[in-house]
Amino acid sequence: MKKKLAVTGALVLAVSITAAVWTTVGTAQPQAKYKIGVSYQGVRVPFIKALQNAARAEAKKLGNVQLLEVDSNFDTNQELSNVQTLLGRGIQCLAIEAVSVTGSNGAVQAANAKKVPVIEFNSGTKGPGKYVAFVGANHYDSGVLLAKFVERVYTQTHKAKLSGLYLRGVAGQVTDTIRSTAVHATWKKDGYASKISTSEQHADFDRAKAQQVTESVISSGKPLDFIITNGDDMTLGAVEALKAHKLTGKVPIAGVDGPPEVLTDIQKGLITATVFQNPEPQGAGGVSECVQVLQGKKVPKIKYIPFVLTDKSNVNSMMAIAKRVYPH
Amino acid sequence: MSAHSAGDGGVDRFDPSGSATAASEPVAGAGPAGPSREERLWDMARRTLAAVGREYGVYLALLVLILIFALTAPDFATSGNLLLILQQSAVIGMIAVGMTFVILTAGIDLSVGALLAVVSLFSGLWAQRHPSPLNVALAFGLPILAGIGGGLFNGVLIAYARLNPLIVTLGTYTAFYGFAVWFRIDPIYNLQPYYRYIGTANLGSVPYPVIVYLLLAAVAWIVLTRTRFGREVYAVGGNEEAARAAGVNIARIQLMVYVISGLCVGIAAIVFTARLGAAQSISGQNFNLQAIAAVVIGGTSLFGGRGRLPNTVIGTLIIGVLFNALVLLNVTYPVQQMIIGGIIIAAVWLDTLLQRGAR
Repeated sequence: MKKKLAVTGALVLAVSITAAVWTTVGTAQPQAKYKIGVSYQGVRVPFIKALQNAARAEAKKLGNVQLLEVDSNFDTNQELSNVQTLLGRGIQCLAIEAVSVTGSNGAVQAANAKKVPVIEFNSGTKGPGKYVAFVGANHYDSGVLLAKFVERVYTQTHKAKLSGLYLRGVAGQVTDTIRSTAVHATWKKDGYASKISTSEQHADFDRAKAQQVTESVISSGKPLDFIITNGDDMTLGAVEALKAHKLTGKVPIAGVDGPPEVLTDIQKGLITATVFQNPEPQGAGGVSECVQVLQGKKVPKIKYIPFVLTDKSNVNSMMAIAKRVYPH
Repeated sequence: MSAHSAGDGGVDRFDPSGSATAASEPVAGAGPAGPSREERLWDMARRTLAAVGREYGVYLALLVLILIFALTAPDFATSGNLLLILQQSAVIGMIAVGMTFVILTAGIDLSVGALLAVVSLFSGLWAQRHPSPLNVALAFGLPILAGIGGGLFNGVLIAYARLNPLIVTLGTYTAFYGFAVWFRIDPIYNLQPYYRYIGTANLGSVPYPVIVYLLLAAVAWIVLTRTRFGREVYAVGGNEEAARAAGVNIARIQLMVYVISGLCVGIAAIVFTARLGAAQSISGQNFNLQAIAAVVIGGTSLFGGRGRLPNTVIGTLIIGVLFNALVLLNVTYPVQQMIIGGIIIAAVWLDTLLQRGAR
């Protein structure tokens, strides 16, 4: 009986692996002219998923492009392994959305070693790895806008000093670092450094962690004049904590990215603002610039897609863009 | 009839009752006249098959996986990709070698990834600097020492303070990561070319990480099967009381296996950092589970005393093949996790059934 169980178990295992494999393989793809590898830093974040949707839409629009996609899940080691796998499959160009400004150099250098051109989109690198072009947002600007939001709150609130919560992302991750540097530098430059103080907590861009952290801060009874986050998934978590303590609409709250859920909350007045990041030209740009490079055309070394501080006054136009690319 | 292959010296299971010789045991549930000759033969065949399955089933599993993916995954079965799998498996493989020693004593080391992050930072600090003899010595020597140090820390708490390994190493996992992030939050990059060489260059067509890994595995195998220390490791895991009665210094063995785990992490950290070209405080977060999975899939018992090092290598390769093929098949990361989790459970289940079948 036990032997039968063992054999059955092994067979079930084999069949399920084969089934999983077969359902994913799908139909054979026609030979495309351009074989482009795309590496995302972490598709579980809605903004990155929107980048992926935009990239896929662009590839479909161009028609002669085969995309081989990989997901780093915020791990530089995984990113390097994935990129090496893509290179082994003979990609002609690598569009990479880097996990870490300096930690992702290994992956870029691996492409350099195989003479495969690199286009960086949304998240760039700094260091010995060489890339042809970068298309994306200047994340420093998102931090500036976030800082200016708090400065606006300051002028509207009649307190000598504001004290708020700053929800940070994954420690060491590229956009988290740049945004927070920009926030503090802007306050310093505009003369608000002594007027605004923050309690900074890493919530790993995660909604549940953000909710937990915000709950703790609210319960502690410390003054909470504003909440800013480095990623809107965390804004949504913080909003839940505000709801639980009946503080919605009473604490100014803003984040970065602006997915449809956040834009809807802005329309409803649950979230004050967001620094809207447009994923469409970034995701599409990664793919289209790769194709242009392979066609021998010149591309600008750096192409910035601007952020827009979005509140109730201009949220509807951002919503139209978001609905096109965000998963729904 | 011994179920052990000749090459191991028959030491992969410590069994003081001597019941390993299956043929001498009477079959349970026999009639008043005793088991028939036919029944005894079937029983022997069943036990042998189970024992062989337990020892070498993983080899077959690896072969089957490679065949399935060669047929279904695009670009899988190229020599370049297969070498890539070896290279991608090397770091986890080295950690799994150390983990094998720990698990053979019925212990566990959850702190390995965190220790790797700390050690990697120490190594990176000196690997950035101009290659003077002192800097090079520190870049390679400091991670080894730090790895041993981390292992000693775990080992002393487990072997001499007699604390539970799961809790201790969970604690050091958390503490080491906290230390790493506190010590250095931004990555150390711009490592010197000489240092990166060991992570990115080949000897002929074989990448250096693979060579270091296989050398480490070979040395570990020799230690486990041909030294007295190795036999004592199996003894402590198989039957601690009997080992104690036989005069084995239990605490010293337990201390040593965690030191070995730390040493393996130290070596793995050098290869990891050289390959990645950067040292980060957040690296290696799921390395503990991957290494444990490699050991378990290889058939080493979590209850200690049973397992072979080559099987850990095969377990590592199975995981490496799976990760590589699932990426090639464009299976999304969450689904990859589910599949690999399922396989770990299946491996442990299968192993438990085969183990019962061999008794």
